[in-house]
Parts: sequence; C-alpha cells; structure tokens
Amino acid sequence: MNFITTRIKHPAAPARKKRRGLTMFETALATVVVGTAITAIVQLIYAVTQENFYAQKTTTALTLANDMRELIDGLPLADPAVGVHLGPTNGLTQPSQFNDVEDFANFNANPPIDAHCQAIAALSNWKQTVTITHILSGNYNASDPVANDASVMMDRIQVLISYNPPGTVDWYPITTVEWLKAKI
Amino acid sequence: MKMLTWNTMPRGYARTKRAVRRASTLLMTLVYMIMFASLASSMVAFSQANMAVQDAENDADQALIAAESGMSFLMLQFKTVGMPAIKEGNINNITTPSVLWSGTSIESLTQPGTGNPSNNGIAVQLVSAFNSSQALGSSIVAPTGTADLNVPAIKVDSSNSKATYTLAVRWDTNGSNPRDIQVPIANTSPVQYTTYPGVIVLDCVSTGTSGNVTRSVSMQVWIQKTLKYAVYSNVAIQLGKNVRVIGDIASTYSGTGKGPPIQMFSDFHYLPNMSQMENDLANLRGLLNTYDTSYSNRITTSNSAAVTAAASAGLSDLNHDGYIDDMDVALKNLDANNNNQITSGEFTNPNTGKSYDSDLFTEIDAPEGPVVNGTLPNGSLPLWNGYGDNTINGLDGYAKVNGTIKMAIPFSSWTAAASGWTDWGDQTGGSAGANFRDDFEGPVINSDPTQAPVQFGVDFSSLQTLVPTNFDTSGIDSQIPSTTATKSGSNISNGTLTAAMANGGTATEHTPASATSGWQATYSRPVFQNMNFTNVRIPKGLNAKFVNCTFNGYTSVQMNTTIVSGGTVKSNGTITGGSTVSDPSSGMTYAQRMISGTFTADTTLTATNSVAFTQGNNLHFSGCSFNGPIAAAIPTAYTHFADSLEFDGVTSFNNTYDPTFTILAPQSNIEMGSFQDPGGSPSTLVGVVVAGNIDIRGSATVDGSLIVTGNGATNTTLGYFGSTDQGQAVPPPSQLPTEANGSYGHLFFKINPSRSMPNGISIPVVATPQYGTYQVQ
Repeated sequence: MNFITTRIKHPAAPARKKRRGLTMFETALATVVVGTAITAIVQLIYAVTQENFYAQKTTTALTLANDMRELIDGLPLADPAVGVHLGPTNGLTQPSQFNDVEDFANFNANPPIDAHCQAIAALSNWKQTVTITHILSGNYNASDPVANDASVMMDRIQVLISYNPPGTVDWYPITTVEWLKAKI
Repeated sequence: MKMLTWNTMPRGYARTKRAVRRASTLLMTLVYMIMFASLASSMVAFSQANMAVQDAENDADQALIAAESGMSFLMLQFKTVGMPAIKEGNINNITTPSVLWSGTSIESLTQPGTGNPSNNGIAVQLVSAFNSSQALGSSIVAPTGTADLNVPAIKVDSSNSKATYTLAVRWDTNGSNPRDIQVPIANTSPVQYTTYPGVIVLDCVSTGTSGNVTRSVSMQVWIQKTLKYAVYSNVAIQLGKNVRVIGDIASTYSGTGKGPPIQMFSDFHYLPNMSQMENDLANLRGLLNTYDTSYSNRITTSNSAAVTAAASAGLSDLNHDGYIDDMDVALKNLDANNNNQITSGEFTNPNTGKSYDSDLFTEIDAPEGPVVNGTLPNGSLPLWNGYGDNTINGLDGYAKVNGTIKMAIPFSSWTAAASGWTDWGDQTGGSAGANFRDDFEGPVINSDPTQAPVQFGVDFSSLQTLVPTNFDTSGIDSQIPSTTATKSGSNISNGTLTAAMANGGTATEHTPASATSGWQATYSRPVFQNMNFTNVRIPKGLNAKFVNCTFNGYTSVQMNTTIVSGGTVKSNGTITGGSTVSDPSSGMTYAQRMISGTFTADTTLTATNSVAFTQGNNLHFSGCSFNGPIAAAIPTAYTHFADSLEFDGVTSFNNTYDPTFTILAPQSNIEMGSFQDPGGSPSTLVGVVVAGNIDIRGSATVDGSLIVTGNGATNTTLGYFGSTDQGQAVPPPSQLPTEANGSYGHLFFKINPSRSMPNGISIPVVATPQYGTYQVQ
C-alpha cells in the first residue's frame, strides 16, 4: 500500500499541468455539448409536456363533448309547439328543462355539465359551447340563416370544448365535435 | 523487488494513462449525451405514442360520430322520399317484390302531388334524393335488380371537418321473399310475440372515416304495407271519457273552424262523490299550462320548480315514474292504503257500494275483456303482465294515449283560435278554451324519447295520408254473385237483396235514428228482422233497416259513385248533365236534392221524391251481429246522410271471416253505438275500420286501425258525447240518459301490426327504421 502512495505523490507535478489543460478543454467541450443537450432537452421537455398537456386535455375535452352529445342527441330535433327554432323556447333557461335539440343553440356551460345535466364542479376551468346551424333544405352544404324556417329538416351541431388555464383569463379551444341531426 | 517510481516508470505507461483519462472524460460526456439522447428519445417516443393514442381516440370518436351522422342523413331520406304504392294489402301478395327496390312505374299506379308521382322503387327514390341534396360530388345511379345502393364519401362538414361517411343500403338477404318477423312483446309472461307479416328487410350501413380510423353503424329498415296509426282522421278527433289509445294518432285537419284538431277529456272526470278529484285535475291543468313544455300533460320531476309548485297544490309523483300526471291524481284520491295501486275494492264508492266507474276500471285493467282460463274472450293471451288482475297499477301502463299525437296545425294556430272554441272539456275551473288543457287532457306517453309525444305543425306530405281515392272496394264486391240473392226462410245468401225480401214492413225514422235532436234527414225504410245474411249485396236505394239480423261473409253496400253538381234530376232520381264534384259541401247539396218537393230534415224521403234515397244508401242496423266485414262503394264526394251506416242497439262485431278489415266505407257516414245506452254490448272491430266519418259510442275495441278519410263532417267523436248528434261536451253523470244507467261505455283502440291490410288500398309501403337493430361496428 505504501508503495503505491509514494508513486502518486512524488512525480505528480508535470503530469498535473498537462491534465489540467486537457481537462479545461474537455470540460469546456463537455459543457458546450452537455449544455446544448440540456437546452435541447429542456425544450424537448417543454414540447413533450405541451403535447402531454394537450393529450390529457383533449381526453377530458372529448369526454365533455360526448357528454353534451349524449345529452342533446336523446331529444327531438325541434320543439313540438314552436317547431324549428334556435335557442331556448318557452322561457326555459336550465338545460334540464330543454325539451329539444335546438333549445341548446348557443348554449354555454361553465362549469361543464354531464350527460345527466349535472354540473361538474371539479372541471370549472372547462366550458362547453354548443353551436347549431340549420342545413338549408335541398342544399346539404349550405346553412339556412332563418331560425324558424319550417322547411329545415336537419341541423349541423358543433360542441366546442374550451379550457381556461388557472390564473389566466383566456379560453383556449381544445376540441370540437360536430355531427348531423335529422328531423326523423 | 525494484520500486516503480515516476522516473522509472515506462513513458508509454504514463501517456497511456493520460489518454485513458482524457478518453474517459469524453466517454463520460458521450455517456451523458447518450443518456440524455436516450431520455429525450424515449420522451419523444412516449409523447408521440401518447399523441398517437390521443389522435386515434379522437379519430375513432369522430369516425363514429360521422357514421352516426350518415345514418341520420340516410334515415331522413327514408322519411322524406315518397315510397312506392301498391294495391295489394301485403307485400307477400306481390309477384316480384324486388320491384319495390329498383322498379319504376310500379303496378302502373301514379301518385300525383306526392314525392313519388311515377311510383318508382325505393332505391330509385333514394338515389334521386341523394343526387338532389348536393351532398355528393357527382351523381350516382340507381342500382338494378336487388343490387346494393352505395353512396360515396360525404363530408360531415365540407368546410370544417375532415370526417366523412359512406352509405350502403342492401336489399333483403332473403332475396325476393318477404319475411314474417316475430318480435317479443315487452312485459308479457309467458313471452308473447307480435308477428309482422310480409316484411322486406333493408340493411343500412353508414361507415364513418376520420384520419385512418373507420367506424360503422348499421340498422335495419323494414318495408311493409301497413297502417302507421291507431287513429287517423282528416277531420277533427274527439276522444271522450274512458277512451284509451295504444298507438299513434294523426289529424291532418289544418283548419280551426271545427274546433281543435284533437280534443281529449280526462278519463278520471265525473267519478261520483269525487269532488276532490275534480279539484286536483283542475290544479293539475293549471300546473301543466305553466310547466309542461312537451304538451303531453305530464310534469317531469326533473323540473324542481314544477315539483315545488305541484307539492303546494298537493300533488306529487306518487307512482315514482318521474312524472306527475292523471295517474298520480288517481292514486292520491283512490289509493287508500298508499301502496301505489288501486284495487277494485278501493275503486268502490263507499256511498253506493258500486264501482266508481266500472268502465274506467275495465278500460285500464282489462280493456279487451276479462281473463278466463288464461285467455281473453277473443282467445288471445292477456296483453300484459298484470292484465285483468283487478288492480290498477304501473303494470297496466296507463296513458290516455300510448304513442304520439300528430297534428297538422301549428301550435300558434291552436292558441289563436282557442278562445273562440266552446269550453268542451273540464267543467271545473274551466276558462272557456283559452288554455291548451281546456281542450286537451290526459297523459300522452311515447316510449321513444327522440319523438315528441305531441307534435304540432306536422308536415304530412312526407307521412302516410289516406283519402277516399286510395281505396277500391270493387274487389270485395266482386266476390258476391251479381245475381239476386237466394232466400230460404229467414236465410238470404249469395247475391243482391231486394226490398221485396223485407219481412218487417216499413219504418219511418230519423237518421241518426236514436238522436233526440239534430238529425239530418228522415227515411221511410223496408225492415228486415231476425234474418241471416251471407255474402250479400245491399243495392243502392234500399235504405233498409235491419233488426236483430246476422251477417256472415262479406256484406257489400252499393250506391251511386258519381256525385254531381248541377244537371237535371230525372224521375228515377238520376241526374243528367252537371259536373262531378268531390267536396263535401257539394255532397250535402247533392244529398238534399229532391225529385219532387222540398227537402227538410223532417221530410220523409222515399224512392219517389229523393235523389239521396234512390241513388244513395242510408242503412240502419239495430241489434245486429256481424261475423264478417262490410265494404261500401266509394262515391266521389262525401254525401253525409245519403251514404250512411248506423249501428245501434245490441250490435256486435265478431268478424272471423276476413280479419284484414271490419268496415271499409271511406266515403260513408257511420254512426256506431247507442245514443242512449253507451255501456251496451261490447264489440271488437278487427283490422282496418275505414269511414268517411265515424262516431263511435258504447263499448268497443278496435284491434287495428281506425281511418277517417272524409272531410265533410265536423269531427270524429270517439266516446260518449250525449244523446244528440249536434256535437257537445261529455255530459256529466246527471245528464246521462236513464238507459245509460250511469255508464259512459269505454273504447279501446290498439294498433295491431300483425294484421295485414285488405287488398284494394293503394297507399305507399312504409319504411320503418328498427332502432332496436342499431349496431356499432
């Protein structure tokens, strides 16, 4: 054991100089490489985090969109008395009272509601927005701007799910679900 | 041993060691890089996988939604295109059923004024609809034979969605052979089945695509020759007390001058010593006017404000079905032990020891008669679990109407006209028709939540409608020999009756005979009594009265079929010249034309003085039994009393000869049941009952469909509406005739898809989506 200790201590000076230079260079190189890598990694983490955030939010958004779709699709398209229309009729304000699909036109829910019309308080940063467009009779690709046009037989329904990150005021659209509902 | 020192150590050793040190630093750097790179790579891979899963989930969702959108679009086409008409009563009777798919000008029938004027096949019609919808990039052509109809990709939204759907409709895999399909009936034990005869099954597939994901949904559409309604009328319909309908009701009447297109009266009115029940019904009406936005006369318990208001009025959802309606009012007032059912004992009036209303109890618990040895009087099994158990409860599924009610007039027209209508309904707290429920009472329950139970402003142009020109009864008449009938004792058969065969002299009476006021005319009739008829034709101008007679086989009623306006009346009652008319007003004018003298309702019409008498046929059947069906010729116009059939007394229908129809008289006026004794002999009318206009009183079951094609009468009254023929409200018990003995009778209408239609009704086949076959693939 002593033999080895002696070998290391005594002739160290010349070698130490050379090692220091190389180490500095290597260290600098390593710093550049590792720094670049870390920067890239940080950016990557940010991007990946964003993607995961999006994926996670989209999953929630799809669930909320399908909740709304399930709630809406189980109703007749138009009001039995008013006929074709857009927006709530009969002075109704609560979605639980809506008795037809077109009552939901321009309906917003924040916090969002589930398929049983129950508010989901835990998702208060989320919002459901329903847009309903009459399809012009005889022209599938055209919309009919007349809200109470009795000739309307089909609507295009969009449910937009938006998210409001905590501490911010802006709502970010996460996903949109769109479908057709005919008066059958 | 030589000590190894720095000076004695080989140079190469030291250099090598330095190199190793430098390389190890680089190696460490590389290791870090590899580690970071690997970590980064795995994060990217993980993230990409996460995104791929998310995209796939999103695409799968969008693809399914696109597929369902496509199915909705396809079902809309089925609803709106005009289906082909056939004259056969059942597709089974067509030589080549596949013509219904790809044929043109089927059976050389035309349907002017409809969406299928050339009477083309279903695929031809669907292709035409798709091509005109502008949903397709390029036109498609109709398939031939029984080939599939394929529709290329259509975008859900050409400007805002990448999702598309394709459609395919496939003709019955059974080839050209229609099927008889059995479907189990819910709530029956042992399980019973409804047999749908002569069905063509179309398999519809909608395939949605989003990204790389495709999803499909499929559903069957059944093609049948069938009637869609339990009660259909081109005039207003009144459903009185103790009238229950299982099936859809439609009134195409688009005016308001004849009152509401459909009026209904709560079955729970007028129970003796039940003033609280009347108060509760009035309270319920008020609540319904405020909270019932479906117009089904039910308050949903999901509306907390309505529930609170109802509780304040002493009403609640006692039977826990999610609604507050007439049945909850009944339970409140009649369920003494609060067990959510009403036994026959609880339904007994303690003041009299009699049932509060035996007709009502029967109507709800056992409308087609009691269960004896496990079967009903007609031999069939009980209609549902709990049928005839002497208890009214949830098993009986009571509603005034179990089905939908479709009306042509918009609700705004109803409300605009309501104040001018007579307060027809509830006498308690009535407000002269100003509110909807003044004329519309009783719960309407439809099992399909996507179909509103009560619908206003219905466009019947795309729905099944029936008018007299759809009918042809000549095929039935042709089955009776054209010669004079053979008379042997009291039996007359196989031919045409003559007045000389009458054995009861003559009778002069009003028509309707038992109306105490408001009759339309007076006739002098030959009387046939206590006779048996088999396959007979009643010629025009006979205007007979049949008393206690029995009719077997077919009975054909003849009359002049060309109703004219103008021209000259000849001595035999025929008219030369003039122009053919089809409107009921001209029909009434025609009926009142005289050969001599002046018409009044009290003028006795005979063969020598009346056009209506000589050219029409006003028949009065009193206390007769019908073991076969009746068919009448079809004039161009509804002529009111000139072509009329009146059934009263102990009249019974037990048609076992041809179950497809009981009465086929689309331009005749029919009075059925006694004005005096509505609780009299019960009858069962099977299959189709078609009339120009019909009033039914008494106790009867219509096991099929009631069709009222005429538009000349004011309304079709179903149930007891008093002893006159002038149109009035349901009379309170104090105004019932003595003969009624407190009974209102009861009527039960139940659509029966198991019954084929008779031949000779040229109406389109019906396409019915079978939502129970909906599958996601």
